[in-house]
Amino acid sequence: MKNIIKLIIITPVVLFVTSSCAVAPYQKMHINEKDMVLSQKKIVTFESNFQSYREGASGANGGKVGGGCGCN
Amino acid sequence: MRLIAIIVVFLIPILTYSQSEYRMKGNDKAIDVNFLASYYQQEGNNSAVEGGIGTEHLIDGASMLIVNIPIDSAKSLQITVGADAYTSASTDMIDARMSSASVQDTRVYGNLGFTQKDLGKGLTYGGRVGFSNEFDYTSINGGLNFAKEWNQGNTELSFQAQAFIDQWRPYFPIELRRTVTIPTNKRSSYNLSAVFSQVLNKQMQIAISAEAIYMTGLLSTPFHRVYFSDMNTLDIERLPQSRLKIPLSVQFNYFISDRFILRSYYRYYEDDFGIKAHTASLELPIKINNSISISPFFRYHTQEGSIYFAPYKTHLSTEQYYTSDFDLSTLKSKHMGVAFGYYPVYGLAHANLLNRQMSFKSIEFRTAYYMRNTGLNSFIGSVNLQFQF
Repeated sequence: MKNIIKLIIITPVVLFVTSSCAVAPYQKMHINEKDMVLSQKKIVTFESNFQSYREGASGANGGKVGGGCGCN
Repeated sequence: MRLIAIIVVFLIPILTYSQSEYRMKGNDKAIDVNFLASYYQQEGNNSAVEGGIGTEHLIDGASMLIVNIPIDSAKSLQITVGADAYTSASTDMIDARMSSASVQDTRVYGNLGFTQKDLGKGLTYGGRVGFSNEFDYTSINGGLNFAKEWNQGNTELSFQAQAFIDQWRPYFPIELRRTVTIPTNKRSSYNLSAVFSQVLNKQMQIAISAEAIYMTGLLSTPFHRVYFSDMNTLDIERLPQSRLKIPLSVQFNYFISDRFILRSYYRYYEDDFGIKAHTASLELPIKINNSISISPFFRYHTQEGSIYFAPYKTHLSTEQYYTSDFDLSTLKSKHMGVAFGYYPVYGLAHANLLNRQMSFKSIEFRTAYYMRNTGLNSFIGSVNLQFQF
């Protein structure tokens, strides 16, 4: 668990430092595609809600994490 | 300590980076409206209401309206309202004297949010308030969010804090109603999340998310039964009055070609109920043409169950905490389906409404089947209609 936390903290730092390509806004036609968004799509909201109800794990996906309902 | 010092050294220049040439994109002028609806049906035989046995048949119909209103290029309002209506054969068994007709209930909820951008500095901040109500539960919530982007918008760091102040109106199993007591009927949840996203090149981007969720109060469900192996008696589910959850996730998206995109996601989860879980998913949007895409997807989840879980008639009456809710057990699940999207460039239809031009922009359908190795299976179908004014 500690190694995973270290990896997740160090990874963005390394990625940022080593990212050799600052993509200019006019070059982002692929990055700006609607299926390339990094956040959860709105239509997935109901699925991620029932997954949080039916499983003990939740969170880190933009969905329910606890509170707001009489669920786990 | 050394690691923290290294991270701080890297973060200081990132957070103070001045973007004199790059200006963050402002809000679009159009009002965005998304109408979503779903149908969910599940079957299983491990109802927590009956102590880990009995039907889990449930049908749920949900709808939600999300409206994003730009006030100007920097300010916007977000309004979300929704309602879920469900019938549940297991909830019907809270009071076994009732008729065989399944219990029905409706949950209604709403959120109001405000967002402000500083386009020159690449900052976004805002707040929201919300509520939710169902027959035995009421919630009031509030939250704040902050984001900073730099490196010509290729890098973003965002934070969000939320608090939920909730209250049960407990409804106990009929045979325990006169004798059972609970320490409190209140529940509070506090969430803090951080997301770091980075454009790696013209075709790839990644996001790393970390959250901490702390819950306190009545964390068990008052109408869940637990039967004991050493005594011919039962109690309601009992769980600790605090819980700390830590989910960590990585999302990686790759524009493979003009026809294929890969969306991938991995999450590790751990909490102090003893649950450890791994979740991974893959989605492959396939562009049929400029307007139509089809996306098959697959999700796999595995979890090590809570230390407080045991099946029907396994717990001892001397234990302090106990649950027979299979949602907290050791389990594996698979979730697979397909999504279909139709996004014509000029929209599906246009009309004049309240002196504004309304456009029906796009429609999405999504269906999925869920299988859990405990015997629970479910189907869900969702639709999203997007409009602009």
